[in-house]
Amino acid sequence: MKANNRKELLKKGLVVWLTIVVIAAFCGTIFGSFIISF
Amino acid sequence: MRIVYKILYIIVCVFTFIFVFMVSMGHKFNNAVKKTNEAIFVDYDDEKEIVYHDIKYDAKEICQYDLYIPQKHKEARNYSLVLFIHGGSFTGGDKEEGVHWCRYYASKGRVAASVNYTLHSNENPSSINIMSNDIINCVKDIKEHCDSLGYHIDEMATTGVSAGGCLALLYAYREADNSSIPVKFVFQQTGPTAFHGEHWGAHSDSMKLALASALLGVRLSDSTMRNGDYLSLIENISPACNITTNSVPTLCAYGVNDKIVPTNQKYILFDSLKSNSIPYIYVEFPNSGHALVNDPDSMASYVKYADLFCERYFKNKTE
Repeated sequence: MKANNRKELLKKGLVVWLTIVVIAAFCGTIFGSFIISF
Repeated sequence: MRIVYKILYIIVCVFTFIFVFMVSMGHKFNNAVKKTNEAIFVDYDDEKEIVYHDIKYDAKEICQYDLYIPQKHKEARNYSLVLFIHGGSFTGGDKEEGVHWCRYYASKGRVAASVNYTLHSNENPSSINIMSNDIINCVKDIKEHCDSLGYHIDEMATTGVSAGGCLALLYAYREADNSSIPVKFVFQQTGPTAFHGEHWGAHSDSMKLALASALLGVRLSDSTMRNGDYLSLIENISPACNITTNSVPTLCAYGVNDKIVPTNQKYILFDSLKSNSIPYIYVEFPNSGHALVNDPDSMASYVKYADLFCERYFKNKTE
């Protein structure tokens, strides 16, 4: 039961982390586009 | 213990965000620069060709230049020099910025050089006149150095970016008579052309004097505003005010969204060129700001026009 909970938690943590990576990449690219047109 | 893990997790997420954000932004910017500069990228082997790095032309440590000699084009003829002057708001930048431009022209059989000049800082104040004087000394040294290598240079063009563009214009218009090598034309990107305070958002006398003092490296008093010295000193360092009917043809590039050099600067230059009947070409970068990295097509046409200027105004033909 405990091991299952830990697995779930890790899975959630990984999903959130990957979401942050995608959002950061998107924001960085948008900001980069802004910088080059400035 | 769970709290510690949570805090660690949050820290990891924050650092991940910052890291990925910076990498993506850098990647986007580098890609744009690479795409824009494609027009001047050439296969150039620094080993086969000759590049002399860090040649000193003055006692000051910063006064150095890199010289690109077209070794495989060595013939018993005269050569043309293209001198690149880097940008950086007169306070930063390095001759390394000119490496692709210099390789490009050296690959076409021209001698090319990229120069460092005395930058302004609080510890080591400089001025546009000191920088301009550095360029004069550098050209003199380039001529002597090339003569000793068996490359006789008898004509030149100045080029540059931003502050370097301004110095390139100033050298071509104001210092042409002091130049060891006759200047045939100038081509530059986003260079300031007139330093009158009102063009730079300095509307009060004190702001105008502060700007002029920073550029001239001397503290100007209020009386200079009244007796006309301010105006004559500012006009002396403004490329557009040094254009005469004998000035050289000019090629310019400016970005429509430039937030650093006011967009009216180019019109001041064009008006002066027009009124003195000097031929000029303006290449507009419609989607770019000061860095001109968002219009590869415009950069390609700027390079094409620069080649056209070389063909038309240099008498030494290479290809």
